[in-house]
Amino acid sequence: MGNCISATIVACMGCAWKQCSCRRKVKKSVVLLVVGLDNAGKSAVVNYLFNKSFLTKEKVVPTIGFRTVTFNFKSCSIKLYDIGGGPQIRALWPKYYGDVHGVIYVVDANDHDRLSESANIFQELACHELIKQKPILFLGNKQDLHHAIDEFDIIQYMNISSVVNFAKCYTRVEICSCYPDKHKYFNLNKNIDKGFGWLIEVIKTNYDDIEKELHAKRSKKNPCDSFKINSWTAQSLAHSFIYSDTDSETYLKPIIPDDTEYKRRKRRKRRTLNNIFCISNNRTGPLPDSTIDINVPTTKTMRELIKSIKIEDLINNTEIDADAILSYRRPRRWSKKRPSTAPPGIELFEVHPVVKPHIITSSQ
Amino acid sequence: MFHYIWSLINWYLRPFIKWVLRQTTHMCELQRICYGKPSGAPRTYAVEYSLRLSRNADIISLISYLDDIANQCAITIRSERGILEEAIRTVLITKKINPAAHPDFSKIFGKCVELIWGYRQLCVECEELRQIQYDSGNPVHEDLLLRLWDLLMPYDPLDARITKQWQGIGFQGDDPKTDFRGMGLLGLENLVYFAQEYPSAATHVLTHSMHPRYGYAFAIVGINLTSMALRLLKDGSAKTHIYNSSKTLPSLRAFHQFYCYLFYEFDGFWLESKPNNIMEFSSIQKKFEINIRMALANPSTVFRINLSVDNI
Repeated sequence: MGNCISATIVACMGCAWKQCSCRRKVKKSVVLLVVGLDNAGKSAVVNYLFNKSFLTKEKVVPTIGFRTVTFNFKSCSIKLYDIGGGPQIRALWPKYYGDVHGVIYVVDANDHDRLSESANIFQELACHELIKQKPILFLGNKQDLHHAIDEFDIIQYMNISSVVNFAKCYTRVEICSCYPDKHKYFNLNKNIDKGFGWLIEVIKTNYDDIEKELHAKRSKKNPCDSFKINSWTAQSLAHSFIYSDTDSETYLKPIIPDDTEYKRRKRRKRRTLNNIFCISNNRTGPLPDSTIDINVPTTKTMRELIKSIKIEDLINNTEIDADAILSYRRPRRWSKKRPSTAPPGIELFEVHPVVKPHIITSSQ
Repeated sequence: MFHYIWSLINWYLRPFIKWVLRQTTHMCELQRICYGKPSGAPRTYAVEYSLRLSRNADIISLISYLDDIANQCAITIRSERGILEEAIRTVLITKKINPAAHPDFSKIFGKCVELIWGYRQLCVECEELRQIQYDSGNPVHEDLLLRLWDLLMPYDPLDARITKQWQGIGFQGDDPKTDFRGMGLLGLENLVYFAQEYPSAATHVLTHSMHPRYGYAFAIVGINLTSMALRLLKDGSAKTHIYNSSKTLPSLRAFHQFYCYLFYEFDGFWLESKPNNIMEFSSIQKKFEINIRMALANPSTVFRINLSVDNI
């Protein structure tokens, strides 16, 4: 009798232990890569994500090589590779592409001269075989500075939507600043958290697929061969438009890169959405399949596609009118009046020279 | 817990032990330290420890007064004498030491005070210099930057202020100003000092940094090392070196020399560890820092650049 009881107790405890260990296994390890040009603010973003510290306290020096930061976030253990952005180090980035689940790309939105350089590097990154179809969080950093451009300009000047649509990367563009918030209504630090939360969410929902792909690529000597239909985005996108907007719960929202159509659509949208709620952030995602024919994106077809894209076109598109930028000042955010994804510079922006704080409602 | 009990015992037992020793040796603790400990870091450490633990009201007010002066960077060569005399007088009176009977004491003790608060002032000075951002509109900063180029590349004049050439000495972009970032002017001054005072060592290191296989970016490694040197200075690990090496009031020069030693040694360490690529920098730097900290834990450590290698 005693033996019996003890045996059942042991069995129960065993079960409980198993459950515990199972639960422990649920903790997913997510590896993220933080890249961008030098002086974009990568280390500052990483520091902010890691211990919520702002630049004033931290002494950031140019990162040489890379730095690994590990922390827990929403039942995931996150490992961030903070890689230096210097020209010598950029050549070594691809070594890490095979290990990561997602990418955080940081750009200095205040440095207009280097936007086209950054655009080229972003294009190279997004179209890389090992990065393609992984989620990318795109941060337009340094919004605290005077001449920083906002997300719409970034998307336009850096030609993000076409690159992203081509590479089929889930991408979310956020603007942020790593300095503490002096003006509460800007609330830019929160954007990093928001974007990061989104990135983790996307990775979590597609975790198994990404892992499978990573393993496949690791095991095969030639990573290009595994580029087949079994990729998770290709499947999930086949029967849906891209997603977007985790805030407003409107998940299926196509992004139309053609400018005129884009504007028309957004204007229509503004009329309907304006009074209900406003989305301050912009996301872009891959196009529906009808626009780009990638039924079977084998290595060959991909190579042809890459060849068919003229780099000059992309560069020319990213050319910026310097005078226009210098004369342009970022309009104050009137969150209620701002449409969700309006193109920049049209009459949708109302520039108010005198800011009356009591009118402004916080953007979030 | 253990720590708590130990500090409690210390708190009650220390005065008793001191009293016994005072009765037997007829000397106060500071005197015993000044006569008993070897000069340099061990003596200065002990004096600092003793002063900080003192419960005498006069000594406490003296320490806070000296701290204030050091925080305002008010110890200069001119004002130093007056400040030291006041400190020595206060101690002689409170500890009832007869200066005629102990002529050496005031000299030795003054030296220790000078080193302790000079170090404190050095930390403040470095921190202030660090917080000055590199400003390309400031002609002084620009001059300093151009001098760095002239010192490192005397036979290769700059084409323009903003040029790819800067990458040759290891800056990241075409314009070095963004690379100073968190280290501000301190990083630049360190580099200029290194190139100016140890030209042979600097060119030696620079040529190493251009090694096809084990090369690294000279300038930004230098800025990273500034950050490391400042870290060592601020957490007090560098005290050993500064106390041992300074003959007079520690100045910014002492910090620069400490930095030069670190840079020169790091170069050797880097080549010795034969890294595969630049990605191993942070791990190697960590190892290097541990080595330096271990060396500094030995109270007799003093760093000197060994220039003999240069002649090869």
